[in-house]
Amino acid sequence: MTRLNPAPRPRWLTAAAWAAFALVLGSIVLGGITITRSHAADTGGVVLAVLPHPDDEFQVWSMLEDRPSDYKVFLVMTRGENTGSCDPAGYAQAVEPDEPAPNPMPTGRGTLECARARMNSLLGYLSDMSRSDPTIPGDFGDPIQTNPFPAEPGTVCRTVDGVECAIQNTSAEVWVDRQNRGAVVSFDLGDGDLTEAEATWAITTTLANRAALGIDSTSPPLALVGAFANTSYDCFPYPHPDHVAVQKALWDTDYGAGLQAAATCANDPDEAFERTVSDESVTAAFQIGPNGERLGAHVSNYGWLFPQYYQIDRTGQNLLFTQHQYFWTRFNE
Amino acid sequence: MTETTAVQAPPAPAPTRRAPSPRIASLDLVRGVMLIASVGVNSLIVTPEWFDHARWESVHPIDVIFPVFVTLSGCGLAFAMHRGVKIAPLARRVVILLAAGLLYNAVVSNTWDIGTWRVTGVLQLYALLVAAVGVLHFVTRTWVGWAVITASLVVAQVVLLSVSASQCVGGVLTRACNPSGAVDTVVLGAYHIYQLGAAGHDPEGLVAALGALISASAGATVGHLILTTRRTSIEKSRGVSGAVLPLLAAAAAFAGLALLAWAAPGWFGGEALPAFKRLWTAPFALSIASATTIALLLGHLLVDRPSRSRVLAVVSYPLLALGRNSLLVYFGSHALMSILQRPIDGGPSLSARISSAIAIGGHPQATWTALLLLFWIGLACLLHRHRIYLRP
Repeated sequence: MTRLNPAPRPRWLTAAAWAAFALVLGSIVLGGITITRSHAADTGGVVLAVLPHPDDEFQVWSMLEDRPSDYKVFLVMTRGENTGSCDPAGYAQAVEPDEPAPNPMPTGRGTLECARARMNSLLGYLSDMSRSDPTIPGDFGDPIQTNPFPAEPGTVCRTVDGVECAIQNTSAEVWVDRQNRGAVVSFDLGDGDLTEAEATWAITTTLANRAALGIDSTSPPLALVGAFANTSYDCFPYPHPDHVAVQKALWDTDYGAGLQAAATCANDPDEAFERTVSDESVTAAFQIGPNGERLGAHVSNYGWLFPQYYQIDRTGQNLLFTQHQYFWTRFNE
Repeated sequence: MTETTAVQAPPAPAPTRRAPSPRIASLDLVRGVMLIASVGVNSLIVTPEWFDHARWESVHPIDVIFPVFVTLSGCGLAFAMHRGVKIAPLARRVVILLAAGLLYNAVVSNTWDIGTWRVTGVLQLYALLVAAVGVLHFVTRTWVGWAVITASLVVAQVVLLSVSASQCVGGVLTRACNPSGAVDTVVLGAYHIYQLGAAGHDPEGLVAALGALISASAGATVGHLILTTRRTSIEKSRGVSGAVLPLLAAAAAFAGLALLAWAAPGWFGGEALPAFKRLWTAPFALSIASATTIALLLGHLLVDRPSRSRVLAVVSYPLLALGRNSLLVYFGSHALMSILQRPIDGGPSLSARISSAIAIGGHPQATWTALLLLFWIGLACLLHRHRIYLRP
């Protein structure tokens, strides 16, 4: 069947049709964005910062700051009890007059006091940071000591004084934010002898036992973000075995908990995205007064762990702590 | 006021009747090739993970088939609607497709529970695209107009996805954080979308539909471009070669726009928008459109010439027959395989049993694929011979 050539349409009708198209398309986009934002604010989710030690938080801070709907869990694998700064001689070298003393005063490496002082530094750091960023958990009460969690024999094993499996501690200590912003979950898996299997066990155990740990068990997990490590690329070298163990645990196992990422070098071929910590958070963490006063939460709470104080690289990746942070991702393909 | 001389207008010319243009066979040919791939893929008894649908931010071979089908459908709709759109047949077509999609979902999931009946699916998505492309033909029926529509849809989707990504941890779209999980759940209800909402998105939901519309409108752009170049070629007696430069330019433009859509969010502080099927992102849709345009150009040069060699006519006949019944073969092969792949009494499926029984030379998969291809090609040829085409 042949058809007649249609008569040309008046221009105003064409203009009206295009205007209607633009209006509908604009409404679809605006509607979609509104629903997505409202959904995100309503449902929220749990973000786990997977950290080998209680002072590694800032390595992933860009993924945590200023996110009001996220429940942030600082999953700390070890208590950092083997730091040389807990040794009286090391402490004398590391601490400076402007730095608050640890609490309690450590009496030696590997001691209970050292572990407590490290964890208290972390709690103090978070508490200070939550003043400038109210989305950060920092209002902690007394910790909860959980019952031991099940683990395959030989998975969780601490070596002490050369004795393998001297300690098999599968319980956790948990500090829950009283304003429901997040929590600190601390395992005691051995500072300096953390293994990939232990880190994998701790992540799996935390995800599977949120109610038992007393943390948010209803919101969906949104992300697992691991601390920095670098054994191969051209940026700050950091082959610390505990950090490598955490990265391997996140690289090799799919936890099905949303984004699975870890901090890396910008020139890592697996680098997938970059985030920048806000200037406000950098200042809140690393500010030094005109006379060397430790004003920032990081330099103040962790100052005793490092000769002088930890510094931040605001432009590149020549230090452990950086403002521009780069991440690889896994299992998002 | 100047005085004007009244001039009698010449009598309006009588409406001219055009001789029917020969069918543009290249579309059928490329559809036929796509359907060979589709039937082959559907016939897999065990699909390797690298070949099966990617779980999220990646593209596996099987992810390409439906978007090619949608792009070609956009081209076909442009051919069908370039002189106008008839509302009633369009509405009837959309309603039939929607109803068939709902029925298909019930058959495939083997449940008739209204409370958990999935309302989205490939047929429903296709229905939505037919409706949208039909309505948009009231806005424009030129290739330039459709190029503008395609670009507008790309901008809209890039804005939607990148603003949504900015809500996600690290600005990265994941299965746990994406606009489909929010929009499709809120609008359609979690129990009525893909995997009852447990997957965190719907690959045939409303958000993916926006990406699919990019594919369809890119196809419509190419369709109108082919019609325009053909008109010009006939006027200037240039043959099919007149389409080479315009279609190559269109393919390059789609590829360039895909790159822009990928990179643009990064210029505004976000992350690059990857090409992947699950959300039918613009870079993905446009890359497919670019490749499909090249395929259409090759087909155009091959089978739209005024005369075809006898060998070419014989070789292309099954492909053209498949292409003429693309809806039947595409959705029919999906439906048939979803039934044949269902395990029987907890044991092997009918397809596994039949393929084992008829395996030639110890190759059950190859035999089964060949058998299915023969069946669908044979059916399409038979229907083509009798000029029976499924057009809901």
